Amino acid sequence: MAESVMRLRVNGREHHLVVSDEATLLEVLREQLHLHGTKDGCAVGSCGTCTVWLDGVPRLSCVTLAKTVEGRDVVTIEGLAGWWGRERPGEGAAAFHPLQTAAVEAGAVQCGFCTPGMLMAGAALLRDTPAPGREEIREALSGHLCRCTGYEQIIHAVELAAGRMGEATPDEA
Amino acid sequence: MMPLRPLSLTTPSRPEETVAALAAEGAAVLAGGSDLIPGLAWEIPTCDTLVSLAGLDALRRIETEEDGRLRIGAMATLADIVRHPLIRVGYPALADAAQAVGSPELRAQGTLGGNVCLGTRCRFRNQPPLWREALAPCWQSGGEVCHAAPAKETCVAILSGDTVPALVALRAEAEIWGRRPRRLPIEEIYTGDGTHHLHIAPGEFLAALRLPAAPPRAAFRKWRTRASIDFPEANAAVSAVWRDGAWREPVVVVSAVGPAPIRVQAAESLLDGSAWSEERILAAGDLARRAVHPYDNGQLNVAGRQIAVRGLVVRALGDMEMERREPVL
Ligand SMILES: Cc1cc2nc3c(=O)[nH]c(=O)nc-3n(C[C@H](O)[C@H](O)[C@H](O)COP(=O)(O)OP(=O)(O)OC[C@H]3O[C@@H](n4cnc5c(N)ncnc54)[C@H](O)[C@@H]3O)c2cc1C
Ligand code: FES
Ligand code: FES
Repeated sequence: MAESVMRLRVNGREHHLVVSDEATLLEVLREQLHLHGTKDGCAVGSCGTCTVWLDGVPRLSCVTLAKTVEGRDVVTIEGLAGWWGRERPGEGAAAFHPLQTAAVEAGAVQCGFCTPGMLMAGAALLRDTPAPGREEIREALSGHLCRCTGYEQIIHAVELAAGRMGEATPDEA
Repeated sequence: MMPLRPLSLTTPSRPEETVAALAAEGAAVLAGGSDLIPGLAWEIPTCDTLVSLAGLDALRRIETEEDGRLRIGAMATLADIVRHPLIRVGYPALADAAQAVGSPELRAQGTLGGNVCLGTRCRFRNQPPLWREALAPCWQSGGEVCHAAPAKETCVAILSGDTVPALVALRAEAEIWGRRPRRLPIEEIYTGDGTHHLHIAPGEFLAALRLPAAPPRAAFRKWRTRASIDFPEANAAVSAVWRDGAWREPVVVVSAVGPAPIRVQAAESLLDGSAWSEERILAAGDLARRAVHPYDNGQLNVAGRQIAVRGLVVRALGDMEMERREPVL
């Protein structure tokens, strides 16, 4: 039950938080920092909607004790566009990550409950693998449940975003 | 959101402190937490102090020892294992087994030690508390009945770690740290009782797995409901050495059908000392099927899991024989 102060960097901002030993990262993000974009789906690691980046790697915040990630860097769905803006200096602040825009256009969002997790996993894939194949996309999203879309539109959104992001950097092609 | 019940967490930075903390009543090892934390969310484990191994840097390393053995620290993540060049090349069956666990997020968090020590699972037990309330407490919950096997006096929950059969087939050795550090073949850490399924005493923990310098060839196969994420309904690994025109020293091991991995010795005898014809492979699969007696505590039914065992062993043996005939390099 021990409570103590811990440091955590969330979406580029340093926080000092009073956290109990058993608090999960999901709980701290939602209930202390009021970042409600990250969803609480199953709370047992089965659905993927609580996915955030921990030092850039997609991780399930519901099965991660906050104290075990003391001092590390977290990006949530609220910080994805900000991260993207910082990633591409000179282009100015971004209102959305290209995958967010693509998800809306491709009909990849219905009830939207799975979307934050899908986008965090998809954006990490696009960062590491600029032109992912269909199998790579399916693999990257394999820990994410969607009860609405049937997945096709979500996979398509990642492909759409990949295509646009590729066009934006022709020198790398 | 339901918070977890109050717990205390400690992260010692020296092995002696870890041993002392783990010797206390109610202490449990916290590795990646991808099994323990969901368990706590459903009020399954009874521990009240979590002793994290994350402060012991040596436990994260994967390195070759002086005698050529590969030493994998218990805190190496499954993702570390999947991408490690020495493992991909020298011990690909282990990389395949690690890749078969959960999702990318779970592999980034889950460790090899946690996979080997994974709590046993049962369809009647691994459920939310409200669901469990409808049933009398079972052996694991301090009761006196097993809902999967009412005639049994012990718990028959399923050992569900996917890397276990691969490690057995690769003849891995477990290194346990405690007051008296010891090493033993990995198979010997499993008791066969679903409630206390590990021969790891309070005050002890798994520190590393050591793999032979010249490993046998091996193959791993898994069967599950959804290919994307689920726990195994059955898994299997086989290994053997190809020498003087024949397979030698075969190991056939099936897991996720009981509280401990099962060596299929009858199949091993059948496979020793020859190349593997189709008939021989099918016969070995039949022997494996007859060697397992799963209870009705998985997600899929008993007969299906038994038939799956046959298929898994046949395919794993087939993988090895095909690879020998037409090496992919
Ligand atoms: C949705 C979901 C799907 C999953 N699918 C699979 C699957 O397909 N296959 C599979 O094998 N697993 C699966 N898992 C379980 C789990 O993610 C993995 O087994 C993982 O490798 C566990 O490692 P960990 O480090 O997270 O373990 P933890 O949760 O930290 O620990 C697991 C158990 O082992 C004990 N322990 C851990 N390390 C040690 C040690 N070094 N010494 C002694 N005891 C130790 C802990 O006390 C605990 O009881 C799944 C989990 C979830 C939530
Ligand atoms: S809420 Fe974390 S995986 Fe479902
Ligand atoms: S959009 Fe509803 S769960 Fe995916």
